[in-house]
Amino acid sequence: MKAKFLILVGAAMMLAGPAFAHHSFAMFDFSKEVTVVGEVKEFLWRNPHMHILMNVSDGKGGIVEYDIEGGTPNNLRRNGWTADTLKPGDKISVVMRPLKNGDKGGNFIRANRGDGTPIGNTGGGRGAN
Amino acid sequence: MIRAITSTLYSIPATCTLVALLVLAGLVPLAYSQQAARPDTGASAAKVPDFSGVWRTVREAAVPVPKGSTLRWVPAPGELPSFKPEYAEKFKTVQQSRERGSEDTEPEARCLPPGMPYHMWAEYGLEIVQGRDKMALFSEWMDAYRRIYMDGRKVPKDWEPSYYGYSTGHWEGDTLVVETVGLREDTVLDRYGSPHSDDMRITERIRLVNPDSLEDKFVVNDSKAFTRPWEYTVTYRRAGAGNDELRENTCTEGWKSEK
Repeated sequence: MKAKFLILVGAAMMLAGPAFAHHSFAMFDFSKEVTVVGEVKEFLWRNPHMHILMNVSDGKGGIVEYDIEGGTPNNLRRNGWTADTLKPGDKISVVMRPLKNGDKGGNFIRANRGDGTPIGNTGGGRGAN
Repeated sequence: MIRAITSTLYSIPATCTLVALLVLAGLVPLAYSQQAARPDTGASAAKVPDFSGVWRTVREAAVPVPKGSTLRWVPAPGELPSFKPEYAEKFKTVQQSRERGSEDTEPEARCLPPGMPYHMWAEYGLEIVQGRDKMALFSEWMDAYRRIYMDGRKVPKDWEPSYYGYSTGHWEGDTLVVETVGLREDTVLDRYGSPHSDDMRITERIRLVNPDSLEDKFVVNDSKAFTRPWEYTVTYRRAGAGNDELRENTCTEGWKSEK
């Protein structure tokens, strides 16, 4: 019974996917910056950190999902962000520090809209005060 | 002219009588006019400084991360405590774990309180509410709260070690001297994940350098982990108008929505 429960929990955690696993900053490679261009699938405005789920072309006709984790809503508000800053379908390019484990995702540094307009202030990551 | 002076002279006793009556009636709180008058706090009946307000940590620019490292921050020379070999080894393990991308050494990544003295780093601002007998220090980062008792009480004998420990303070002139004991061992000292032992005790000397600048000088004693007391100073500037409110930072919110 107990083993069955553990398996179910494990399956649920896998279904939750990479978008829901990150809180630490140790998982990002701070020595690298990568630019990702695509379309917003979902903008998660919540604590402890906001997430931008993005659909990105894999260059072979397919789509891969990126999970880009940014700052905290309390601090992002000070930098011009709100819960409505991004909507599904928005075309954006994001500069991020990639995940060390090679999964599709990273730590948000800055972003532009499709027309080149910067999104929020540059303090989209953690630490602006 | 003479009539005006006479009228003023007559009105003084009347005003005094009114105030006295209000005080007697309890309508004017005595504390209002006798701030920090308790002799056991070490302060004279004279006013003590008021640290109340929202404060922002003044930070040095981070030192460059060495080539080949993936870490977000590395300590500046002399920034860390002088560790005894066992704790230097522990710190090395922390760095290696973080290089690998593990959050095992980051309690705050699991929404646990930063604890002391990390709390006073106050990434998103520190709000101090000062009473006569107690001071509350809220940090927006992790919605965390620490209190300092200033009424002469002592740490309870059955105190169980906690994230913020038990802090008592007394005034020495314009400086609040705070002793903190009873701290948990499983917290980190700083953003680098520096370790400490269950022997850690902290002395802070907090004062206003000027009305808009607050200084907190730390002496962290840990005879098991450090070769000598770890001394450093944190300074804060008063938050500017329009940016002088703390916000919510409810770390566990995301956990709820993950289920």
